[in-house]
Amino acid sequence: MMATPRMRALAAAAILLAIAVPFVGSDYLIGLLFTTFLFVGMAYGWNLISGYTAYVSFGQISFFGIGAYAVAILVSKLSWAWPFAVLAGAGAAALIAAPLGWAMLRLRGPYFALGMLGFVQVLYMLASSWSSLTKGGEGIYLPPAGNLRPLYYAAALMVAAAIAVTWAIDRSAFGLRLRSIGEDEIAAEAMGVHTTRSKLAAFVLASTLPAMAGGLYAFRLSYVDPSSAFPASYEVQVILMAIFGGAGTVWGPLLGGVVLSAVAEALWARFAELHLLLFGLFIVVVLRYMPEGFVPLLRRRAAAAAIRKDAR
Amino acid sequence: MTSNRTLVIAAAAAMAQSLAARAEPKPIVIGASVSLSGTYAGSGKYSIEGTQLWVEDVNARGGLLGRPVRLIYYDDKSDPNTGVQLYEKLITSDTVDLIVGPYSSGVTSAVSTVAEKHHMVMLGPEAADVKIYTRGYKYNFQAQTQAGRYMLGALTLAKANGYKTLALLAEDTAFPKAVSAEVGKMAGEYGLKIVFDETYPKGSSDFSALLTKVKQIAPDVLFANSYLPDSQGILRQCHELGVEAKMFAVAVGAAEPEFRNLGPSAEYVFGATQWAATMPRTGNPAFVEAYQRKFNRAPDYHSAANYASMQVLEAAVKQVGSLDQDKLAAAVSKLKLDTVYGRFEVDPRGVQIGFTSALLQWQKGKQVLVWPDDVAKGKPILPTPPWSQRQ
Amino acid sequence: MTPRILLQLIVNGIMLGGVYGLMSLGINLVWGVMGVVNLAHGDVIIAAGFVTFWLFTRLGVNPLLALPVSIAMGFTIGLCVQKFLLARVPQDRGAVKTSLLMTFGVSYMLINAVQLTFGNEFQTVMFLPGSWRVGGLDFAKSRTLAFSMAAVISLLLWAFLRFSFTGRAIHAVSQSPEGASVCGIDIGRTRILSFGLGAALAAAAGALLVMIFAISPAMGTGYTVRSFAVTVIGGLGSFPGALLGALVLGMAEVFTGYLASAQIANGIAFLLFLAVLLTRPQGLFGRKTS
Repeated sequence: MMATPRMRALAAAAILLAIAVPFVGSDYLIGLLFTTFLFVGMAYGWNLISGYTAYVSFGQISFFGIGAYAVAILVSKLSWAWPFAVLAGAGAAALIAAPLGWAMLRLRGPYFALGMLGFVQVLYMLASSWSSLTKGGEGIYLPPAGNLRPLYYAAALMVAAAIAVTWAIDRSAFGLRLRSIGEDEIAAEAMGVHTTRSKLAAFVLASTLPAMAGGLYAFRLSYVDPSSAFPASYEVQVILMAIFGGAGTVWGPLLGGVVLSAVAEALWARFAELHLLLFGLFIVVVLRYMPEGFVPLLRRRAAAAAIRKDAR
Repeated sequence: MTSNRTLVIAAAAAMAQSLAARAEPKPIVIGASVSLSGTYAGSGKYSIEGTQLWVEDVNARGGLLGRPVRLIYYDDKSDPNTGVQLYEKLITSDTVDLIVGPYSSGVTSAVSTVAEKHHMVMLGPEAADVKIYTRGYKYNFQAQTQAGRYMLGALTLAKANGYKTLALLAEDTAFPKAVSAEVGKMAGEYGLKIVFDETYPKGSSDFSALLTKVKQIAPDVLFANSYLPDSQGILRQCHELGVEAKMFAVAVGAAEPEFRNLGPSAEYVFGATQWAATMPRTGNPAFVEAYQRKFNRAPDYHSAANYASMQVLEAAVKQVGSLDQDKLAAAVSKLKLDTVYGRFEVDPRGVQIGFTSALLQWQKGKQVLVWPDDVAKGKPILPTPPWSQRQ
Repeated sequence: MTPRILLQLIVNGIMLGGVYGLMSLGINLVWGVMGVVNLAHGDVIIAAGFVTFWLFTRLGVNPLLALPVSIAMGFTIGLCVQKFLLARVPQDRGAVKTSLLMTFGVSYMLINAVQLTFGNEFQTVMFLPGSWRVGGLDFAKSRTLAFSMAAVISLLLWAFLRFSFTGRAIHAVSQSPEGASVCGIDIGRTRILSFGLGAALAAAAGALLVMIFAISPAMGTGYTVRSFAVTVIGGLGSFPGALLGALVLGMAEVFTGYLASAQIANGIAFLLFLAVLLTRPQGLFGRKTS
């Protein structure tokens, strides 16, 4: 990525701002940034599995729900401290993702997509019927999250970790293997890539991010029931953020997440249905006219500009 | 010079504006979320109309503390999660002065934590579940009849007619389960045995499997302890599956005029109502008339409950003389007020002990109050004729 | 469980299965012919249901007369999606992913358009209340009507595919696009018609569904997965398979609701779907696809 001094300065400023907000910003701003971080984290999660490989998952919110319920149960029933509960939620998601991925990733393209869609419904059903664990439709109440600031930092840390991991993967052999699976899985296999292992690793890793987001979200909300744990509208927003920003890139999810969170915030309260409709429309438009997303577009323009500069 | 002149004009304009602002008192903003869509929407719209009527009413009387009152509300889609986010927004972003609770125990329960966290008084006009108010919260007060009192009328009639077995159906959320639980505790006193007690997930449309089980058990009495769309769906499918009972009663829904859409399946059904236009309550006739004029339709008990909550809030604010939430909380907890909904009074936990319930029955396409005797306008028709013998 | 209860449950299951069958025929057609998974399928079902509701409640139109309106609407939606969106997707490696995402986007647009136009409440059409008592069993009038209409439409579809030129063209394209084009069949046009037809079938199913019980916009995804579940169980590309799969699902839901709980019955479609996908992906009658 073009690491010009100007970009570095901007990045540093953004980071400083992010750290400073809880001290100078209003409760509302902190809440808004908190939610943005959660979405960015989830976008990175989707990016890891569906951005690099071609396995389009519509079921990432299943892990979100797992994380949310993990925190709800651990905190309310076993009095765990929330940071540990959130990490435990990520662990639970990974534990579930391993066998699930092993089963699901054997299915190609559309079957995998449908399978994940179906998995969300299964979890929803489980959450509704397993009352002894989840209190069914009534939901679990958590003690009110007094101070938002620690949650904010936890979310920011999650995003930082997501970016770091994606960056590392992107330039590693593992990342190359994932990309090869995305391009042409059969050829990759023929070339000796352990596709199953790589896909599975990406899938399991990808599951931890929505799980952590779900856990933090649950603690903030102080209430978890099946419909808040598996919010269907989040899936579309996360996917849109990743593809708008640029699937399969390091900075795409961040860009997409920040821009679209701002748009969503302006619209969600007053135009609830309209904003989701626009998001749906946006997905279609992006796929039709800029399927690679924004980041590659920016990169190409920067590269073109650089060439023009050299040619002078 | 031009720039100097511009400066003078700008300064004058600014001064004029600030003077005008000082003359015009800042409005008091009330915030709420309500179920305008989703499962509870049928009843939710009546709720917000009750609040809107009060706002119009109080402004006509000179406002609150000499200031005009404004209402901001959003659609929580009958979803507790959305409700929580909306109340956070109302309190932190819109910075409202007062809040009032949403529709349904489920949403109120989730939202009560937000109110408590921000130390804002919240009356719950649509929260019948007592559990919400037994958590030691200091800022939340129940402004709706307790869930346990909803089916008192139906139970009384069942006992009076010598019925012995009772089947309970409930949605898997706070209020319906609370009603079922309370009925379960009281059934013995009324000579009834619970022979069926199951829940179904929120958002269900198809009750046929559940009702096939009920049919096999053939209870004397069936209670559908849920909300409007489910009450309708259950009765409709009882008709279609030939599920017979001597008495059908629903917790919510029969009081709404929309229940009529069921057609012949609605006939003879009993429903709990906490209020009716004909009940002798303070200020009731004026309220009904004003509502009819403003909204071109009759109010239902949800409208009255919300209106009553605002009456309570108004009384508390006047008593305290300010919008200090701590003082308001203390005032509300001790307040005893005769409202359009009945006598408002809460116990030390915040549970409503003043409001009561009544029972109506659909007879020949009309709602008729049948219990208790002091408000009844007609006699209950029992037992219910079998489906096959009706047209 | 007495024999009468058993029979009643079977009757309920068959009637439910009839409507599910109609839903899945649309999927079978589109997926079989073009290998495209339409994630907006369930939302077309719901949209048609709401249109029927609106026509019935606002204009007093008999739902059976409203059926052609829904079908026309569904057909138009399908046609537009294929012609203006999916057909323009570059047919490279990323095509599958892109079409999936596109129909996903369309799904959201459709459902929110429904919410904006008709509201977000549960609605139903109370047409023909009550039931017919035959042999000690109750046949709900609305469900019997829905089942009969579903059967008629399925029969018409079968006849169309078997005997009409376009129908056989569709069949040809699903077997081998190259072979079909060599025979002079316009692939692009056939695809557009297939997608339109698939959506039209979904719309018909929705118009019938709303007569049976209440629907809400949020139910779209559930029906998408159910439709695919039926197709997967019965086997892709097989007409009798789709109907059998529908029957299996209808029965499963009814019996699970009776024997276990309503919550589990809600999820049985997806459990079956996953189970079949993982153990016998070609379903009961399907041909093995790559």
